[in-house]
Amino acid sequence: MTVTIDDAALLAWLDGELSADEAARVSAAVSADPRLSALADAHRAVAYQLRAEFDPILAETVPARLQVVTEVTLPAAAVTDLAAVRAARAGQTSPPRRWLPQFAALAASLAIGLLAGRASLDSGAPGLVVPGAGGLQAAGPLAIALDTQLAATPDAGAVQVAISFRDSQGRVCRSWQAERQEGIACRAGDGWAVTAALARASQADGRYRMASGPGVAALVDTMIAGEPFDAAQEQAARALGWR
Amino acid sequence: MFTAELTALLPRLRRLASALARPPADSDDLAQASVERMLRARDQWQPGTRFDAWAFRVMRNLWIDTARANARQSARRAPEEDGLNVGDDPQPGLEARSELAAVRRALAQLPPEQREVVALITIEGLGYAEAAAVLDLPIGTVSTRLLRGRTALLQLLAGKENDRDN
Repeated sequence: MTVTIDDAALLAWLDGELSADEAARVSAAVSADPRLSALADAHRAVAYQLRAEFDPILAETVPARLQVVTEVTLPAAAVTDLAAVRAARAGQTSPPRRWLPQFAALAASLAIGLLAGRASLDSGAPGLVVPGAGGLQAAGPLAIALDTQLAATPDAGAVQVAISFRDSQGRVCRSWQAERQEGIACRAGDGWAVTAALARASQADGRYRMASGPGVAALVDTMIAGEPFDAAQEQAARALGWR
Repeated sequence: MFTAELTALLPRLRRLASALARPPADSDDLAQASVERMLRARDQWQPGTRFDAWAFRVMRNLWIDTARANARQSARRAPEEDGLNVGDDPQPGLEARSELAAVRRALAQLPPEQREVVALITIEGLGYAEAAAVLDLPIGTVSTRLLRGRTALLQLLAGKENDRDN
């Protein structure tokens, strides 16, 4: 006697969705019925084709614009005394050229990701952003601009501070733009923790472009508590050392 | 925790985006928009629950509105073709993109509600109940749509083979 199996049960059987009893029943029916057997083979072939078509994507390199950097191990040589680094570059007004492509590569990988943990940078030529004990820190002209510059100062130089605000953790944070990077830094002790850095240049062809993704403004939206500082609030915050 | 989960899932997110997005749309654009939404909505994921199901749901919800609008638009644009080319691609050009594998073209021709079920279950390997949770649908609906989609794929791919033989 032939057991009736509907096409939905057949597919559920192929997908491993049936209990042992049901599966045994369908299996027996398929063996006994050439039509069901052919249909099962056809479904298997399509499933195989689909996986053969889409599975290779798993082995592809994830494009930089999708990568969210969590933690990159810092090479031992890169663990340097931050104060010494900063002293060594006192007076320097622009980041060293040979460091820029490396930053661009790193920053591109952060195009949509918030920075957490430490990131790897070339300790030999740090520039605006350097690794510190608790994550990335502002250095050089960026640190100076964050310490001293009021937002929207015309012709501010290598680094332009865009807006200042207090984040949901109560820290004063400031968004900034440089030639090839833009980002957000928040007051941490006497320095500035860089919480986000986005590339403004495409490393592959050297052409300038705005970072794809949400951009700094969208990231500010996720962090801000209340409204951005107005000019008076910003001056007051600077007078208090951005506390 | 969150970023580690997300980073580990990126290859699968790209695969799902590739199965959902209809060529010539850039599936990495969908993947990127989804990752951005996940970063903004990260507080909505409950640690201890399945991250992939949550992430797939974010991507699918981002994709479905556009996909439905496109499907409606295509249907309005070519009403005279109804009945003449059942199951054929309403979007001119797609059919002719010979660089696309036949199976990818066939998948792209499924209506969105069948394509998403095939993508989640047959390509991503989710169980019916897991897919139902991602899609917020009863499991019976998922099972019915899967059967329709898989049957349509059989017909579309069988049609391709006939075309080649002729």
